[in-house]
This record gives sequence, structure tokens and C-alpha cells, in this order.
Amino acid sequence: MRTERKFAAMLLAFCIMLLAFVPAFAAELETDSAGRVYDLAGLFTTEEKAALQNRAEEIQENWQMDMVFLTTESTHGIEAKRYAADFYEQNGFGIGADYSGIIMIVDMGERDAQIVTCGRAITVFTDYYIDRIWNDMRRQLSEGEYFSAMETLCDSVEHYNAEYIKYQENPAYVSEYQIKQEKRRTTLLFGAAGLFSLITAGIGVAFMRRGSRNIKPFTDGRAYLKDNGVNITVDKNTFASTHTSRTPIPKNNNNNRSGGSWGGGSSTFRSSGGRSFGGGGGRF
Amino acid sequence: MPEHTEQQTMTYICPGCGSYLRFDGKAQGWACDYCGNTYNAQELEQRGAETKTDSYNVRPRADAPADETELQFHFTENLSNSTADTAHMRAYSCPSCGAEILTDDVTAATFCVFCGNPTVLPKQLAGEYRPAAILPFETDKEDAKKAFLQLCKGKKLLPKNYTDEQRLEKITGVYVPFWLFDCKADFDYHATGENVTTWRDTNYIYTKTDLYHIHRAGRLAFENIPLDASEKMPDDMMDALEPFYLERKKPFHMGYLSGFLAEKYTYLPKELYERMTKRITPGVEYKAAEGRPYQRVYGVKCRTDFLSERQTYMLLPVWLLVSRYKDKDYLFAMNGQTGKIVGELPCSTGQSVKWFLIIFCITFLISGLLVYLIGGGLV
Repeated sequence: MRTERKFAAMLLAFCIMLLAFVPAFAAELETDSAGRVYDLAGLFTTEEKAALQNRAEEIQENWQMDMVFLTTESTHGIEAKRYAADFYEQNGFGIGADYSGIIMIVDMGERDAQIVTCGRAITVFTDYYIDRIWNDMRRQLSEGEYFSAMETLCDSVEHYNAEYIKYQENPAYVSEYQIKQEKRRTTLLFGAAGLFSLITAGIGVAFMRRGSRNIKPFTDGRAYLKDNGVNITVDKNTFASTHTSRTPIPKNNNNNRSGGSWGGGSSTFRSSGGRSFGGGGGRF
Repeated sequence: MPEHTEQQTMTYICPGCGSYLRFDGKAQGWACDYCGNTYNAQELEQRGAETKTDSYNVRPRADAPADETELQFHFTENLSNSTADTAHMRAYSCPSCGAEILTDDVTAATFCVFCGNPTVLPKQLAGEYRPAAILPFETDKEDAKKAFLQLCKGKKLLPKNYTDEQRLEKITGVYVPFWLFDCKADFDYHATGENVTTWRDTNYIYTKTDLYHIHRAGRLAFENIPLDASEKMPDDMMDALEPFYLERKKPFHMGYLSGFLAEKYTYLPKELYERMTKRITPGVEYKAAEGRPYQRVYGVKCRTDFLSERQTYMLLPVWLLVSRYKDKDYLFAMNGQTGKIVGELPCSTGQSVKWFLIIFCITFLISGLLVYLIGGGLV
């Protein structure tokens, strides 16, 4: 009886370990040290794979940013972006000390696609730019134009990297994000001005309408008080209690968010190895 | 948070008249401001003077109960009227609204001033009609017309051509019956007074809240509070017509009615008494709370005993103006003594829309320009 239990416990422990290492196993099985295209779902032709490999190499060379394409039929129950981050980390992708790079994962099982960023790519591709790129790619992905979608991604990666360099070199540079924010702010301000004007006009007319009626009581009674008609017999002010409270003065932390004028912030998550990744995407 | 504190106050009641006694520090005794008696501690004990104990919870503002007003009424009917001869008085009644109209025997009532009915029927004068005094008209019909035009001046929402004189279909001088109340109000007022001081050091902002129990009691004496005794007259209009300067009143005489109409009272003082007390209650509470050195006062508990001992019947002069616009009658009333006119002018929807658009455009132009100058930078 005791032996059976021991065996069952060992079996369970083995299963748990196996589950924990599934992505690592999968990654190790699927990688190739030079290649950047892992088309396990078979979405690309040989020519397309070669073209993507070329684009990845160009991006590496021009922008010091790794570019990896991963398609799969299953992520073994793991969230696609985490699967991609683990794949990227465990296979040693990334350029420089911060492992800069992007891995694009297309999970055909869940029809989920994610652009996952690492290192400097997190700074360049903020949530705003990821959304822009994803909006361009989603339609192509849902129509089955997988290669076109990847080309769109590569074009955008190159375009925004070039823009980011301009932003860094020229202090007067106005980013796309900034223009968008300014437009939004101006629209909001004009909207607020319109609302304010509506309210003012409403109050103004209500006030004018009220002015056409002058039936108001002349007095609350005080006008009919007799001379010397006020006689106060009790006038006591008794101290009852005191209470002092204190609130901390908020500290003024001058934490300027990096990339504020470039593209807003990036939301990040951690891979199994504890490295920080950014990015975004969705169903298609 | 500061704790709730129950405050007990003990006050002596005058054995002579039942009023609150005031402690007189100089005389080291208790004085009654109403009957004039003074007592020392021994006398109070010997005469078995009652004491009144009040309890009041001083609470922080967040826990303070809503203001509480308690009114008690004591009414003694003491009508002050005259024995004037009413032999030359004529009465009419309106078959449409039931109003009773009075004139002298040389003035004919040809329409009902209240509902505009062109037929009024003569009737037998019934019951007592003896006003103590009358306040004669000091203005005429022309003054009423001018006051009406003045009221219309500058009213942007008035329909076009409204001020044509033809619109003032009927202008009638009416002596409106009023009861003038003399009234005393004994109040007992409790409230919480709050003073807050704040200061800061490098790390903290300190807020010190001091709470006080305010207790005030006393008597307010009012005289000649006018309340119209006519069912037909809108109460809010009559209240708005005041003040009447009663020092220019005359003893009632039929001669004053010549050329004017009068209405017989429909309400007796006891029927108006509660309305009268409600009118002056805000004034009582204001006086009770007056001059408190606190930043905030809340949790007010005010109990007032009203006592009316005299009511005077008087006729007060009012011009009634009826203006017709789009099949609707608009009633205006002018104080026949001072010329103060009150009423509600019609508002034209077209004018309202026009002014709404004008204000909107101007405000939007200015605020839009500001937005452009301040926030329009990149666009």
C-alpha cells in the first residue's frame, strides 16, 4: 500500500516537472542557431521564409535589433506572448547587453498573434506604436495574408526605428504620438469650450427667465421686529472638544516618464526567466 | 475623530412669569427681563423655582444630525377693529369665482377683479365688516401703468410688442384685507460651533478642530406682521408687495372706498396663524444664531414657542393689473402706497432661443479663441 502511494507521488511530481519544462523543451526542439524564421505552422513558402530571413538580417544590421518570426499550431496551454518571450530568452536571441529585439508569434491554434519586444525595442515600440502596427497587421492576418502581415511588421519596425533616431538626434522633433496627443487634447479642449458655452447659454437664459418673475418675499420676519424687540437671556458658548489630525505632505517626485514625448509608456510583463518584455497584439 | 460630548445645560425659570432667568453677575442674582423681578439663590429656593435642563450632543460635522426645528403655537384671539358705520357699503358677489367685492354706494363694480368675469351681482352685506384702519392709496392708475412699463423695461425675453398699452386690459385699485399680527417668539437654540486652524511643518499638515456647544435662548417681539386675509389674492404676491408704511394709516372711513373696490376677508386670524409663524421662523433662527464667532455652525436644534396676543384688521391698498397674452391672463400687483410692482412677465420661446444662441456663439467664440491661443499649438 505504502509503495503504491510513493509511486503515485513520484509520478505526479514527474508530470508537474514535465509540464513546467514543456516550453523549454519545445523551444530546444524547434531552434536553429542562425535562423530567425520558425514556421512550425507552415504558413510561409520557402521563398517567403528566405525573404523574411533577409529582412530580419537587415533589421539586425541596420538597427541593432533582433527580429524573430515564430508560427505554431499550439503553445501548450501557455499564453502566446509568454511562450514567445520564453522562446526568445531560452534560445539566446537579442542584441547587446539588453537583448534588444522583437519576436513575432502567430499561434494558429488560438488564432492569437503577438508582437513581443525586449530591451531597447520596449522603449522604441511603446503601446501606442504597437497598437498602430497591430491595427495594420490584423486585417492581413485574418484574411490569411501571413507573409504580407510580416512584411508590414518589418516595414513598421524599420520606419519607427528611423523615426526614433531622428527623435534622439533632434530636440525639436515632434513624434507621431505627440501630434496625435496634441490633436486629441485640442479636440477635447474645443469640446470642453463647446460644453462650457452650452452651459453658460443655458444658465444665462434661465437667469433671464427668472428675471421676468420678481415675486420674492420681502422679509424673513426680521423687518417686523419691534425696536428693542430682541431679548437674549441665555448666551453660552461651552468648549466641548478638540481634535488635531495630521496628513503627510505629498512629496514632489520629479519622475519624468522616459519616452513621454516619443510615444507614451510601454506595458511590460516578465518571462519565466525573469526578463522584462513588452509588446501587444490580439486575436485575428 | 473627536468624540461625541453630551452637554447638559441648566437654566432657572422665573417663578413669576415662566420665562428664562438671566444670571446677573453684578447683582450676583437672577433677573427676569420680562416681569422685571430679581431673585437671589435663597429666594429661588424658597419659591421653588423650576429649572430647565437641556441636553445636546456635540458631534463632529460628519456625524451631525440634520437641523431640527420645532414650532409650538399659542394663540389668543384679540381682534382689533373699529365700530365704523357701514351703512353706505355695497356688496357684490362673482357668480364665477365666488369672490365678495365691496364698494361704497357711489362706486359700481362692473367686473370681477379676480377672475375677470364681466358680471357681478349685488348682494346683501352679511356679517361684520369693521376694519380698524385703512392705508389710503398714494398712487393712481397712471403710476400703475408707468410702473408696469418700467417692469417690462430691459426684459429681453418679453414677446415683441408686448408693452403696447392695450395689453393692460384691466387696472383696478383694491383695498385688500390684511390681519396684522403682534407676536412673541420664545426660542431655545442649540448648535455646534466649529473652528478649524491649520498649520504645517516640513512633513505634515496639521488640522485642529475645536467644537463648541452654542446655547442661546430669549424672546423676540414682532409687531404688525401683515398677512392677507383674502382667499383670492395670491399669498406670494402679497408677501412680495411689502413693505407698507403703517404709520400713515387712517381710521377706517367709507370715504376712502370711493372709486376703489374692497374685498371682504375670507380668513380669520386663527386660520392664518400658522402661515404667519412659518414666515417669521427663518428670521427667528437668524437672530438666534447671529454674531457667533465660529467658522461653521451646524447641528442646529431650535425650538420656538410663538405667542400671538393681538391681531389688527386693516385694509391695504393694492393695484391689480391684468395683462393678456396668448389667451392667458398675467396678474401683476402694485403696492398702492409705495408703487412697488410684482408679477411674472411672459417669456417668448423665440426670444429665449435667440438669446441662447447669441450667448452660446459669443462664449464659444471667446473660449474657442482662448483654446486656440493656449492649447492649439501643433494643430
